Amino acid sequence: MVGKARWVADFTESFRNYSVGDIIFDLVVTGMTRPKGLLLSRIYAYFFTPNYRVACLALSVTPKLGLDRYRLAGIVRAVEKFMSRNKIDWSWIVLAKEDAFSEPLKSFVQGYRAQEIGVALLDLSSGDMTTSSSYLGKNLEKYARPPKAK
Amino acid sequence: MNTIQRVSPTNLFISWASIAAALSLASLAAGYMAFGMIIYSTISFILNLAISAVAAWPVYRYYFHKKLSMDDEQFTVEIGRREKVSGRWSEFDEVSLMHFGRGRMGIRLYYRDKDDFVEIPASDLKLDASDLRFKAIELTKKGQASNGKQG
Repeated sequence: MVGKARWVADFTESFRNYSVGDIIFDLVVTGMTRPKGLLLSRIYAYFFTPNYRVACLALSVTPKLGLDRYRLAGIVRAVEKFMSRNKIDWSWIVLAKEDAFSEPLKSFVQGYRAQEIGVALLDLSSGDMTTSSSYLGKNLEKYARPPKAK
Repeated sequence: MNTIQRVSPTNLFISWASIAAALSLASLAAGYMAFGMIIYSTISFILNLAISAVAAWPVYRYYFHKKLSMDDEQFTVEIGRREKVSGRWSEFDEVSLMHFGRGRMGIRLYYRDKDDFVEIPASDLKLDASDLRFKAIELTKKGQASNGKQG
């Protein structure tokens, strides 16, 4: 692993080029929020940490994808189906692109309020990140640190 | 000067090896106290060790010894003598990289037509799990392509 990481969940399974509906995500990782640990940390986690099944789906946005707010709404719906099929409680969707996202798309994401899904638009050229306004979306600002603009 | 501190996760295998080593020394000391002579306690210790090794070997072979054989068409995974799974790469459509805990990595192959999977414990077989994942992805795709041609 290169770079810094923050503990978010105990991700145990990872897929490359994983199909969710008609979208192929570059990376999908799934896991649980409860850490394993040895004895004391396991007991602590059992009593104080909720054991939610979580997933993080990352997609590199290309012009071919034709990403606008309707397309993004379709992606979110596909992720919702993926979550109910796999009994996943929380998901993060990270869409990364080499240039800026359009303003209508950003305002769509900022207005997205579903509590179980956090959405982030990551502009890799400037390092700007736009997240949905739910708790999970706001947390992405801490977890997914965008690279510093050169 | 930057100070780097790292704490490794507890390695249970090494912990058990340490306990086994301490237990051996304790049994040697107990033998000395029982017999009063170092020669008898040493002989008893060696005998115990030999009996333990002979008794443990079939247990290890039955429960833990893992084998993988694979070619471009199919694979077979054996876990001890209690579990043997064979499959053709073309039967699977999704491949994931798995972390089984305590640093053990492997891959999981999902059957195309049923809600089931097969796990290959790569790190137990001294294989690079990431390399094995990409190899399995290549072989499953190849299997699907050849199935498509036949169909």
